[in-house]
Amino acid sequence: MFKLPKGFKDLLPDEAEVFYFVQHKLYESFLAYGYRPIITSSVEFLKTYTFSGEEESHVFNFIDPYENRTACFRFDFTPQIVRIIASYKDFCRNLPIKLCYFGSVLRNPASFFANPREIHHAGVEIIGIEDIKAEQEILLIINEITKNLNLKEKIKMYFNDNQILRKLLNKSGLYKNLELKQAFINRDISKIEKIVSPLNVDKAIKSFIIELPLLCGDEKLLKDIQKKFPIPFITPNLNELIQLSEFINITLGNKIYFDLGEVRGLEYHSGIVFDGYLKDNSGKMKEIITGGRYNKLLKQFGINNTSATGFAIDIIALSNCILRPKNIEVALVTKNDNMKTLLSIAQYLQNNEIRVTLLTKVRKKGLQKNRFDYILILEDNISLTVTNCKNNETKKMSLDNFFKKFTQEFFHNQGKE
Amino acid sequence: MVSIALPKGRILKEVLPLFKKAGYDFLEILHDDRKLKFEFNQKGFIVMLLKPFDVPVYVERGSADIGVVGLDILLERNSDVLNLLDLKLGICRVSVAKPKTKHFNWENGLRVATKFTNISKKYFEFKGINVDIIKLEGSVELAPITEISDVIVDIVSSGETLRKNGLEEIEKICDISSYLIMNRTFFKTRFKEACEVVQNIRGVIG
Repeated sequence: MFKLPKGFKDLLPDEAEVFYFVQHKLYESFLAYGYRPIITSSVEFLKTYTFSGEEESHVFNFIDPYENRTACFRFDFTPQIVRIIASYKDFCRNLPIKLCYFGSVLRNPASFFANPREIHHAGVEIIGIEDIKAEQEILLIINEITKNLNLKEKIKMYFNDNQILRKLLNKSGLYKNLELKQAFINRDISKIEKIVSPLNVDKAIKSFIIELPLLCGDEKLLKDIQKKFPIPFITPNLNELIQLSEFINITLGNKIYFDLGEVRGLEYHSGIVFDGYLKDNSGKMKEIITGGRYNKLLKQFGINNTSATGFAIDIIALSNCILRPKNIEVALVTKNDNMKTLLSIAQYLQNNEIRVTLLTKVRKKGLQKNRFDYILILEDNISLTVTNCKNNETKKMSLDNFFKKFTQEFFHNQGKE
Repeated sequence: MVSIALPKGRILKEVLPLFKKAGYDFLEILHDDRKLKFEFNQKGFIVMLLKPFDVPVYVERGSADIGVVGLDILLERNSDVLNLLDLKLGICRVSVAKPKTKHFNWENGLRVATKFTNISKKYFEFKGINVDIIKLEGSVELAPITEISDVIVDIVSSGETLRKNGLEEIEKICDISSYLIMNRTFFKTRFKEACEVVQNIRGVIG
C-alpha cells in the first residue's frame, strides 16, 4: 500500500470543496479591506528561519544542490514577507503595506500526536501601523470573515501583550532563565513558584509572575489586575488592551478575552499577540487563528523603526467549523452528438447557479448513488428525461417546456434539504 | 462536562484521595476494577482510566480535558499539553544504572537499554556521549546482566530493585512526580472551570 508520511493528509473532493469555499471567502474578506495578494516561494534558505529564532529541527531541511546550501520548505509566511521587505527596498517606501497570502507551511512539531506537519494557511500582514489601530483593523477583518462565512458563532479571540512578561522578567533579572521560560510555555505554576519565590524582588512583581499563567478572562480581569498588582511599568500595556476591548465593544458590540499567561513566540513576537477559537462540527473548540506583533523580527532583518502585525488562519481547521455549502448538482448526459443543445442546457443551468457535470455514458445506478441531485438525459434534439435522484421520479419533457419550467427555484425547492 | 484522564494502577490510589480533598470525590472508581469510564453527571465530570503512557495522548488530542501523569511520561512523549501543577505524588527519579562490578569508559560510547528512549537520547546528547539506545518494554534491569546493554536508564524509587539485580545508580537524570495536565484549548476556552480545578487542587497539595 502506498501511503503518506505521518502528519500529512490528502483532501478528497468533499473536503477540498469546503476548503476552496473557505479560501475564496477569506480572500474576499481580505480584498474588502484593501489587502493585496502576495505569492511567496515555497522554498527558503534555512537561515531565514533560524535567523527568526526557529529551531532547525522543526523545519523541513534539504541541501540545495545548486548552491550547496541548506534550504527548507516554507515554515511560516511572516519571515518570508519580512525577508521580501528587507530585500526589495522600493517595496516598503510607502507605508503602510497591507498584504494577504495563501499557501501551505511544513513543520516538524515537537509532538506528532495531535499536530499535522502540513498546515494550509491564509493570512494578512500589516506593516507600518504603529499603534493599536493595526489590532483594531485585525478585529474588523475577523468580523468580516465571520459575516462572509456566515458563521453561527463568533470567533472567540484572546489577546495578550507579551511585553508584560518581558518587562517583568527583565526587572527581576530572569529574562535569560530558559528553565523559567519553558515553565511559562507549559504554564508550570509549581516550577515558576519554585524559581521565583526565593528571589529578592518586589512583592507585587513576584506574586504577579507566579499568578500570570492563570490570568485569563475578560476586560474585568485587566481592571482587577491593575488594582491587585499595582505595577506602574505594565500599566500602559494593560491600558492598551483595555482600549482594544472597548473599541470592539463600541464598534461591533463584540467581546474579546485576555490571556496574560499566553507566552507563545516570546523570541519572535514583540507586543500584542492573539489567537482565535471556534467550535468545530463535532462541537469541540479549535484554534483557528494565531498572530501578533513582530517589530523585533523586522529589526533583526535590518528594518528599523517599523511596526508590523499579522495573523495566519488554519484553513482546514476553519473548514471543519462550517458545513459543506449546499449546491444543486446535475448530471447532464447525451445520447447523441448534439453538443450545441447540450451546451445551451448546461449554460442555462449554470446561470441558475446549478452545477453541471457533462457525461457521455448513462450509468444511472452508479450516478444516483453518487453526488447528483438530478440526472438529465438528452434523448434527442427536442426532448429530455429528468430523474430526481432523491425520490427516483422520472419525467420526460420537451426542451421548450424544460426551459420554461425548470427555473432555479424549482431545483432549489426540489433539491437537498 | 469536564473529562479527566487518570492513570490506572498504584498511583490512582494516591490521586483519588487528593482529588477528594480538593472537593472532587471520585473514590467509587476504586470499587470497580473493570470499568474504564465513570460519569459523575451531578458534579459535571467524566473520569476515564487509562494506561499512564496514554494519558497525555488523550489530553493533547482533546479527548480528555484534564489528566494526571508522571513527568517521566510527559518528557518521553513530548506532548503539547499544559503541565500546570506538580501534585507531589509518585515521587521518584529517572537515573542511569550499571552493574556494580563493571566499569566503563563512557567516552567510548555506551549501549543503553531503556523504556525512555527520548529522555535517554536527549540526556546523552547533552553530555556529548555516543550511545546505542535499545528500546525495552520492561524488566530493563536484566539487560546489563545478560549483556544486551552496558547501562540502563530507568525509574528509581528506593533503589531496591536495582540492588536486588546487582546494579547501582550512577547518575540522576531528573526528578519525577505526577503532574496535573490540561489540554491547551480547554484551558483557554473554559478558563473559569479550568482555573477552579487548578486552584482547588493547588490548595490541597502538601
